[in-house]
Amino acid sequence: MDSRVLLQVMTASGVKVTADEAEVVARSLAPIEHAESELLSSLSLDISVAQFVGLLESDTAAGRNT
Amino acid sequence: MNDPTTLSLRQAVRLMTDGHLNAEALLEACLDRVARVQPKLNCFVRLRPEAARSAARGADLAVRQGRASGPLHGIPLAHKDMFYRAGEVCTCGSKIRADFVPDLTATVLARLDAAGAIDIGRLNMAEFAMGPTGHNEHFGRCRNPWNVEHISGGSSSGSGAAVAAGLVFGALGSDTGGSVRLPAAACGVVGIKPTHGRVSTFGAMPLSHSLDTVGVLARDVGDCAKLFSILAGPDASDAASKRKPADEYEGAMAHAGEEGSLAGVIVGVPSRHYYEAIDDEVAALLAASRRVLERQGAKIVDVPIGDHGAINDLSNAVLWPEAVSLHLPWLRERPQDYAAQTRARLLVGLGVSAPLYMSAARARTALLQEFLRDTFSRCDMLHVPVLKRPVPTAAETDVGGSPTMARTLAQIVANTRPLNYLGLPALSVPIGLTRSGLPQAMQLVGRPFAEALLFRVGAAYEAKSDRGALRPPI
Repeated sequence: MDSRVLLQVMTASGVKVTADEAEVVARSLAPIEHAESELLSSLSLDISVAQFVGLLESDTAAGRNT
Repeated sequence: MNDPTTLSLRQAVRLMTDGHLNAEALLEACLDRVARVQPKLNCFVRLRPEAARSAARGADLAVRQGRASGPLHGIPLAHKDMFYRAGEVCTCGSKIRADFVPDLTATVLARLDAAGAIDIGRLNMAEFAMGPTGHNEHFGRCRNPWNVEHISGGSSSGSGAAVAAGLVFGALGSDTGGSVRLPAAACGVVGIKPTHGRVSTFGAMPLSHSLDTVGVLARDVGDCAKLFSILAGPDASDAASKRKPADEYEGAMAHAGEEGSLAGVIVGVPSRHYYEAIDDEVAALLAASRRVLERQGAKIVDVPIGDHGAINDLSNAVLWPEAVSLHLPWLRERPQDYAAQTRARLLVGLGVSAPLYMSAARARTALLQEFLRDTFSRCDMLHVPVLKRPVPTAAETDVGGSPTMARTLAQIVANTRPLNYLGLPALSVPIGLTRSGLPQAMQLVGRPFAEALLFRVGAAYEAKSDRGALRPPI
């Protein structure tokens, strides 16, 4: 995201943010956005956040645990 | 008796049980060592000697009166300054909470109290648990007991340094992106990051509720398992706590010293990310640690793995929006009271869109499914480094909130943070020293709730290696 647009988005939260800080955040967001394009492009509509908790405790996840 | 601070926790418990050691004597030995070492390391932010002495007197009186004692009877511990104890200041490593006094006690502290442990004070940490190096502008940097010019690791910096230096027998830490495993690795102690929801987070300062875990650091694997057995298990006070009962962690290590004790265990070495761009010296130590496991009967296999580098980056889309939502009122009203680095990292959360946050949170299910299917179908656990390079100096990592900050810190947490995103347990175990005299560690990564297996394999390694349970010359 362009750092000037980002500055507007961030200051809308009520937090004072400088242009330099927005520039640093923009750089931090770049790898996140790259990961998004790589990992999330085929994410199914049918997956919910709550399923993660169930998966951790499921038999599917269990293996040799001792 | 020689200096009792050199004992392991389990040895101290045995001597206490047999009547060869009492709680007051052990506490005074620890407080004396703290007084000598604290100026060098800065690992404590606050001691509570009178409360500790009172508890130790009570413990000794209970023994004299023939009353039952707990499994940690009279054992001095100290904890990262983010676990609430009703009526006592809890700074969370910050200026903002310098006077914060909670009105509740963390479940983990209550469980250790009930087991008979003596809480001697609060340990240094990164501000609000945001920082993997041990720097803290408000309380000063916690220094590495192996070489004070090097980082202790963070954010549970004081926990790693205090346990390594023999000031206490164990310490609580929290791990949202590596904050138990990094200081454990850098200071040469054992640290467990549990499965998400295995240990209660009630009464622990939150950072990112999806990723937060409470772990523990100790001098060796057996001590770590003993402490973990008291901490693990369901907690009705914690909505994120899992209902699954705790396993038998100490019992899992019963055959650790026997030949072939790891027969049938398959240890996977991932093909991507975790070993990429690794330092040669660190790689050699890790290869040696795998050979020890192999000699115990473990089968070492190469395993495929997804793009955990991208997972590492994606975890920021969960961590920082959750963190900034907690800190928004203070960021608006008291921005000057944050260290530059903490503030810079929190601001990332303001830049992540709501759809991206939700998608990253939803994707955990799909990525964990993929990991279980493609990787854990071929092995019982992973063997990976905690740090890819030797422990850096404080100067090398003193980046504040500068433009290079994100890249520098991302390199440090590259091998720890993906596992928080996936919710998996991981055990950091020392494997020796690099030429610079600083520790290195292997990280054993298990399926959900496989902590007992991690302890079993870690203990087998320690039993057959002269490189576990390191003690710094301080």
